[in-house]
Amino acid sequence: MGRAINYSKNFYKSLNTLTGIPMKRLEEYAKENNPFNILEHPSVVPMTEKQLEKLNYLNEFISSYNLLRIQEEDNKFKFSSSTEAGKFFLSLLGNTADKERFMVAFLDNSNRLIEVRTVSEGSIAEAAVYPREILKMAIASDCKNIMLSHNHPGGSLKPSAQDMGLTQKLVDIFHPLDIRILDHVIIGAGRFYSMAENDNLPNSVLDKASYEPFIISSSKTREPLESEYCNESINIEEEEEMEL
Amino acid sequence: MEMKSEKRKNENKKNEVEMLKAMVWILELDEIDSRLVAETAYKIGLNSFFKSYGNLELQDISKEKIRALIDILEAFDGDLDGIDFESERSDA
Repeated sequence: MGRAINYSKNFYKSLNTLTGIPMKRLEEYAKENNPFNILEHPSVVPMTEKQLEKLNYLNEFISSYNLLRIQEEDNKFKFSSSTEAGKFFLSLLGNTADKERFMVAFLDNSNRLIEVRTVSEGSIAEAAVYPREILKMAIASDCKNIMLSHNHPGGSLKPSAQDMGLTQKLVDIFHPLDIRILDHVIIGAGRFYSMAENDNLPNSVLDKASYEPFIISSSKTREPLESEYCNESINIEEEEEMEL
Repeated sequence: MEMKSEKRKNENKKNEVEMLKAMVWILELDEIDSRLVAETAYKIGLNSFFKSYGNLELQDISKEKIRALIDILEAFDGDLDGIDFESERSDA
């Protein structure tokens, strides 16, 4: 019952946050009536014109969303390529320029998104990543595959030695559990770099699983390989020239 | 068959754009957050947006409003079906 009370209180509070209808009035009505009536029959609670307009929009939005959700049940965001993954993470990390942020997308066996989590936020040059936390989230989400991503606030797309090390470390942890790391995407200056696309993604276990925290740093980048290319046909060597 | 599915996808996308406009209006966020919300939701889809908005650089108040919208959507998704409002009232 406790959960029910909290849930319906959340409902009034949410309604109050979005429409501005006073909490007291909502609670008063709900004492003797089904709170859903407020959305379905707005005239049951006194409200201003603006609040009524908001409520009507909200009602329309709910109907459209439920319809869209049913239509798109089989059309959830699917990571079908490294480019898709790059665009996805670019949307989420492209505007983060003041700190390093490490994110993990947990996917089902068809590579559809189950959930995406920020697992670490650091300073402008580095972030600490806790593999144990990622493991806990992966188990909780019941995922089959994983996508990793973090940003380089400095804009470089080159994976650092730590980026490579962390990816290997996570493969060491997840490979024995039959959970695949599909890619590690680096975001910088509005572009992305995919380790998988550039054949830099480790795909086998190198060491026994270790759960020590790991620091990733964008300031200690490794030497690029000649064959590596970034998104939008930008070669790492070209990027270095651009930086000069 | 593929054309049909493509057509359906386009229609869904069009509906989604309309819904995004409505959502931004309902949320009444400031200009910067509105743009970020609309752009991100357009790129990754509304469902994925609701799963990942917490990772965006948005003001706390914006996140609170999005959370409120999700709470209401969830309430109308049948999650409240099992809630006995009568008993809840008598408990209070």
